[in-house]
Amino acid sequence: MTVAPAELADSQTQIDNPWITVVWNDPINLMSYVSHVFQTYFGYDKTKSEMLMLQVHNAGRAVVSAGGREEMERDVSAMHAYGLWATMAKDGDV
Amino acid sequence: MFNRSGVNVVLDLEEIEVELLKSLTGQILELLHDPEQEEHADPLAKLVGMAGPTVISSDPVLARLFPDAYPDDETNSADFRRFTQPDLQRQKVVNGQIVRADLATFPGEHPVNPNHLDAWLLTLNDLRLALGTRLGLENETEAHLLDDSLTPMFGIYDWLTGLQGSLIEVIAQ
Repeated sequence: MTVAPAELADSQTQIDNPWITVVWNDPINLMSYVSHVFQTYFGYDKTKSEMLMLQVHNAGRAVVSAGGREEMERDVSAMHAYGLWATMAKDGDV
Repeated sequence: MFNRSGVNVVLDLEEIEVELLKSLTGQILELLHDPEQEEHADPLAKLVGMAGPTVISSDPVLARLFPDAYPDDETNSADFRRFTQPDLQRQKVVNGQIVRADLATFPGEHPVNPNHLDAWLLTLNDLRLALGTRLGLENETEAHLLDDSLTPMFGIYDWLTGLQGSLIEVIAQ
């Protein structure tokens, strides 16, 4: 498979500038629901999903995924589709 | 409430609960079809599917359903909103329509089409977010909790919480 130069440049940018998706605590979403979303959308196992959910609940927020900017925009949009309060940031900015 | 019966997921609703769900679903569908947003859409942008709004809604419920993606960055938040909100809004409308159509077979205990369970889960969540936001749960104050006129709404909110909880439990089984 040949990789176009543009794609190479793009993936290099992603390595240099990893972005993160942050899910914030809110008083409405059920803990079981948040954990279900992490399992369903990210494919995380039950233990990891519950750990992240508890982090959101106790610490007020958790980083749920990291990667390139477009990928994180997809994740944030998916979280919004599920009704979770999610934002994105450059790793290190939060 | 939702239950499992053999391979089926069944839902048991009384008549008053069906009417309540129909009314709440109707209200959220109406909110998601906000004509004001359509009016402001640029026809050319609409044609190429970029017709979304650029600023967070002044309606607290819509603001909660479609929050800013980039905190403290209006430009990037506006771009993100323009590209993503129309799709998200459409998804929510489709989910609400599925629930509303399913409600036609109730009251009583009936199996729910397994392909519709996600639509139910997401719509119940949207309804709780909408009601919870209207009740001011995001920044709860004592004055709110002491306001007797809100008691029926709290009752409905708690009932929705139980209903959604029962569905999550059934799905997780």
